[in-house]
Amino acid sequence: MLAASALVASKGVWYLMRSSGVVSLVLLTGVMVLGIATANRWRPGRAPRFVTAGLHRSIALLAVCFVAVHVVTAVVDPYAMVSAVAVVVPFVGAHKPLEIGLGALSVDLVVALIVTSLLRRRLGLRVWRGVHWLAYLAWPVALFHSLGIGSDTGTLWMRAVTAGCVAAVGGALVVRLWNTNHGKRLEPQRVPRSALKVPA
Amino acid sequence: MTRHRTERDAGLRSVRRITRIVAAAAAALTALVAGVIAHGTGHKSSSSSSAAASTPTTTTKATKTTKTTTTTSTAAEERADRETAGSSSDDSESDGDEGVSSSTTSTGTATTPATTSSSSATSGSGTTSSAPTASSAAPVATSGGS
Repeated sequence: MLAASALVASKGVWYLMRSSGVVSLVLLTGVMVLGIATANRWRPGRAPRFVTAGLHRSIALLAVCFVAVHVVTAVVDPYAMVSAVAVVVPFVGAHKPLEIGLGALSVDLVVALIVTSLLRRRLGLRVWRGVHWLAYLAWPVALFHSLGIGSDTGTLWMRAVTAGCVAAVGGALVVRLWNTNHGKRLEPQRVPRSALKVPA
Repeated sequence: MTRHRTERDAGLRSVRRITRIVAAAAAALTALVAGVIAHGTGHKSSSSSSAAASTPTTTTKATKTTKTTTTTSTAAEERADRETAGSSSDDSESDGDEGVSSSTTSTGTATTPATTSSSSATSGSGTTSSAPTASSAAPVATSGGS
């Protein structure tokens, strides 16, 4: 009886690990698209522009929660054979080091992005922006981790999810590049000091 | 000033509302995906177990072979079986570990003694040597028969 309940719990952890991984990928895709939309100065309807940035920030924190569930269940589940070190240090695991290493690398990058965003005022805009460019690396690394080790990669629904994620990020990137190449100035313009001076 | 504040408050409210909706949707999606995976795995394991159970009805030697194959499965094999049980395209590979491999082994051993017994019946000797080879290999049985 005890062994049966342990087996059910173990299978539950296994299913939770897989499903949280899929949802993490979807959420990270949403965060990526919202980040690009923020850089594009897109606004949802008539809402103020900071709504896009706010959504980007809050959904990023939500995605981190799901990534945390994915990582913890991967370590807890005995059949996943992922050590606690392998989820932090990339490419050191004994079992499938490349695929799990990609996941660990993605986790490290996401954590770096979140920490630098929380400390943005202390770090300065230039450092924050430099680290934030890593987001363009974190998402594809997570995608390749999913494609490499994902148990459901071959299924139709997972292929549809992956295709949707790639299409969403690809479309957002195309719009971003289109705006950049067509002379739309997307970065916040620096206001000259003379303009701030109040005439006497 | 008050207009700005009203817009800001409305924006913050919408951020909170959309975040709550996304969080609920993500939790529901997690449960849904877990259910889909569990359903796929359960369906897969039941079909493989039925295949393994139906094959050994031909000979008793085949059931013994199947049982020894299943008990030697390690945690890695169990993991591989779990991994591939949910996927539809890797079904042929996944069942190579446990389910269908044992059933193909039993099928092969079930057909082999039949051919050797018929050949030994014509020659009139070697019937005792062909019987133990049900679990090992077919070429021994044919050599004994000839």
